[in-house]
Amino acid sequence: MKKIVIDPITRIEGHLKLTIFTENGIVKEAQSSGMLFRGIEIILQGRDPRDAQRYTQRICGVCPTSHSIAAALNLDSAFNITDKIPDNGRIVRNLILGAAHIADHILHFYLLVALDYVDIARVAKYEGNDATLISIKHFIERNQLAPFIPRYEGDYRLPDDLNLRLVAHYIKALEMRRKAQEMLTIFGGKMPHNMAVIPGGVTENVTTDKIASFLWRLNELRDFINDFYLLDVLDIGRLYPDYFEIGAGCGNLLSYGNFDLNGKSTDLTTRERLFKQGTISTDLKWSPLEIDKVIEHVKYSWYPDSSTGRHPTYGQTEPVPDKKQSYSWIKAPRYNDRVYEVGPLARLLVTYAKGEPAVRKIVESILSELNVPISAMFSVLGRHIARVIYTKVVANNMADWVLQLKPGEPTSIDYEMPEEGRGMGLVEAARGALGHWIEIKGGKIANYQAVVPSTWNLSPKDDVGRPGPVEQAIIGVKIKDESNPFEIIRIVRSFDPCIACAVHLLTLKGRKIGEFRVV
Amino acid sequence: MKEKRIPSRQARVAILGLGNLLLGDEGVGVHAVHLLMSRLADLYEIKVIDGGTSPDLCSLLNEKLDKLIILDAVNGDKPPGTIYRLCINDVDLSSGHAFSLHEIGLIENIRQLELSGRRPREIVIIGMEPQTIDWNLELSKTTKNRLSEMVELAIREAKGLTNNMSSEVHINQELEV
Repeated sequence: MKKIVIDPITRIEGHLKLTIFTENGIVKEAQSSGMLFRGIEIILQGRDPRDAQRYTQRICGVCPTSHSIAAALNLDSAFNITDKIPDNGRIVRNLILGAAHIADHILHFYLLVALDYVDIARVAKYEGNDATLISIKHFIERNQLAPFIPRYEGDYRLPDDLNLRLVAHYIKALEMRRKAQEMLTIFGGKMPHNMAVIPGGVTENVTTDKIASFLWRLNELRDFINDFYLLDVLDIGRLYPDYFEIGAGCGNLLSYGNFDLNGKSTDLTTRERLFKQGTISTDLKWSPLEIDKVIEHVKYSWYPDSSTGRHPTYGQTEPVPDKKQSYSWIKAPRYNDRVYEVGPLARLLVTYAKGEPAVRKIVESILSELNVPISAMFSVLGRHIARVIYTKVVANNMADWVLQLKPGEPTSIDYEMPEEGRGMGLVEAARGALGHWIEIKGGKIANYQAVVPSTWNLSPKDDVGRPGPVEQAIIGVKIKDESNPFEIIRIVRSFDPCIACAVHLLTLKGRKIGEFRVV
Repeated sequence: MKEKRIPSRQARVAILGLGNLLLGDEGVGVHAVHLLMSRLADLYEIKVIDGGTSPDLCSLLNEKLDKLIILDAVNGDKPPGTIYRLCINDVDLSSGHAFSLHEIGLIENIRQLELSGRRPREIVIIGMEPQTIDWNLELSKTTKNRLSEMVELAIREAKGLTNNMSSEVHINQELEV
């Protein structure tokens, strides 16, 4: 067997290493390793529970917003006020989270993924008048290709005009992401690390001014999603139909659901959400979410074997860096004793399988346009299509929600914090199911655990040796050119891996700039 | 005591602090920016931004600037507490692995700013050599002692009082002795 190591995988968030063993060009074994160590649980012990959303947001710069919502839901439940959040507070939380997800998915497709399909080098031959393309051409002439390199070479199929169009959209996407972040700050106060989301609701008051300035940005983003993002993904889908056939993964999908539509139920696993809670497999049969079925395995992770098989509430994070057989700092979460994938594909298909009419309609119309069956969604392209459909549905719904806000009415409630208690916060981060759990003793945090999306997707093998979702998606793939394994990169990137909070800092490796490193 | 306003022309200047407040000295840029905010309250011409762990420059800077001053931790193999003033021109931008603790990285973000036609004329990094990077909300004693000096340098930089175009290294003298 031949061994290929890709370390680090570029254009993702954080440090991920992949080790692949091939035989005659076919992947026989794959090991995904998160190389940093997470320590947020340790820093939270003994602190005031009401600050958890401030700390957990700072795990990383990519999805602080989803962490703030998970933490607030977690604290609401520990303080027994889950069903008491005013509608204004519930809706503003939805708008803040929705803005973050729009920004994030645009970033992922244009700035991280598109360059695997779009050949930026061809802009060197550009002869037209477009200022953006000319500036990129000058970049290439000066041999300054970052942020477009390093990349693996080969298999760029876009015709010249489409290729150029997508390069120009890359620049447009930078502006659109800014619009989405600005939209977030109207109610979130600042970005990154919003200040508004707190247990009990949000701090920011609702005014007609804010509603108006939110809405015009949102409408511009909706135009971009419909006229650019969606069409660009479909174009890539038409030119790379073979990517509907690889990267299927484990075939089991898990969603915690997203965007509370009704705040009156205390049970986060069943309350009414726009995207539904639950699980499905390739048969697309929906099952309800039973959160007690989540446990974490550690046989192949650098944690003591004695801490394996626990529910996250009883989780421990005590590093054993020299443990034999282990190859990752990421634990292996499993649900109902099976391997599950999380992310936009999971929340879209779980919602589809539960029978939500609006979602069924849009999924079916897009699949018929591409002329592929629903089973093709379990693939590299399926994930990108799910992501853009999700973004579109969220943006459309946000336009309704923002008009349901009532200026002048309260956005949060007062509460009394109990001395003892347990809480759970479940939400979907951009990358998938995000769970926070808290135990309060004597008015302080006694234990805080977070199970983040990428620990599901990038998990190592579990105690019985079953590989994680990304590992399964790679095993069996035929690599055309082993020195340019772009198939593997495209598969991994379709999961939108983010390791920055899946794990954290073991050895600091900063960036080398000249003789200096900015860390 | 109040600071004086910038004399004559109003340069459009932003000071951006980067770093993770949870990781001790890695957060020195953010600590510095918070100290700056208290000192620069009436200098509305200077925009002070807490960028946290996200150097998403295209979103954080909404206009074309004359000067961008970035405060961050810098590993330059000098004693902890050493303060660096790095002109972006002295920094090698060609090495570009899209990989850093701050998501897709500062260098890529500067490039994106340039691609969207909004690269500031001048970019200066004022950095400090960290002592300890580990889960901790506090700065180490060494970096804390020099934070004020870092902030002073940033203010001078913002006011255009450091005209030289080359990088400087202010070794931490206390440790040298």
